[in-house]
Amino acid sequence: MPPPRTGLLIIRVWIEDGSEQPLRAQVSVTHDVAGGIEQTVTLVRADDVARFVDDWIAEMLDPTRSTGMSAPER
Amino acid sequence: MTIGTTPAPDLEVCILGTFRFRAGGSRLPALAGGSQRLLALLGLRDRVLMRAGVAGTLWPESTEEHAHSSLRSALGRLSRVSREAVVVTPLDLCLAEHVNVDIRAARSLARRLLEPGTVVADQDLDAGAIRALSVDVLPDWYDDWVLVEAEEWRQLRLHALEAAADRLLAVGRFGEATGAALAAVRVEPLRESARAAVIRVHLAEGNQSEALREFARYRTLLRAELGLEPTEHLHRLVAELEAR
Repeated sequence: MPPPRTGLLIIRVWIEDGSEQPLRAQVSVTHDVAGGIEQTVTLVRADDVARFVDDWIAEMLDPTRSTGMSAPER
Repeated sequence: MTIGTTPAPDLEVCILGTFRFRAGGSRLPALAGGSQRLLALLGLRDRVLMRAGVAGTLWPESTEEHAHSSLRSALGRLSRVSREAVVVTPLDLCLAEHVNVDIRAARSLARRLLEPGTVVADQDLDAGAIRALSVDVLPDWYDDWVLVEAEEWRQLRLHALEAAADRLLAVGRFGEATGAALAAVRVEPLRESARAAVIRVHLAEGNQSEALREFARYRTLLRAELGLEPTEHLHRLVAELEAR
């Protein structure tokens, strides 16, 4: 049985007034806090944030599954 | 736990950056994990805490009985010197009055800098002050009680660094103002107000090319990371230079 893991996802949000897309959501994640933060991305669309969180939860539930969590292509 | 008759050593709990416990300026042998966490919590909260609250905070996944037992164990494992740092009663715990905590001074500094109209001392704007505002709380600790406090400190220091840059700019200390503004940029490279602070300092000093370079660096980063342009406000800061 694999050892228990604790994941962590932190979303820091701030608003850049005057920007065409004012949301800034900096998402930092790890699938195991013992290894520290694995990835940090900043997103500007609420649906991208929701998708990122969904992918992270899916990977927590099934570590063998890679959803290719990443920021949207520019 | 008890204050002896001999003068207490100059004790310090440091939670900015790596956890350290020092006496008379010297770092002491590492404490057990539970004891470190206990001193860090007491330092972060900086007030009297109920024992039950401390046990539940530090061992949230344990039963109440087990959490209390872990707290007793952490207290029992404190070294002779670190025992002098903690006041323990049957009901509550706190750090002894003579114990310095680095975050306490840093928080006060940040609040002074952010208080409009307050005249601050020279040392509130010197290199040591900027250094204190440039460090996160226990960056590799992921306990819930650390994360919340660490985030609060991160926001406070970010604003304080921008305020320090403005105050230094107002008195013509351009080099130090640049340092403070760049420290704010390092906290959050995508934050526009920090970039604006750097650009304002360059403009005030007459370094137009530096101002334009900083703007270009930010624009490149913003396009690459977010696919966005800087706001109109930032464009206006350098519009006159760009038009030349």
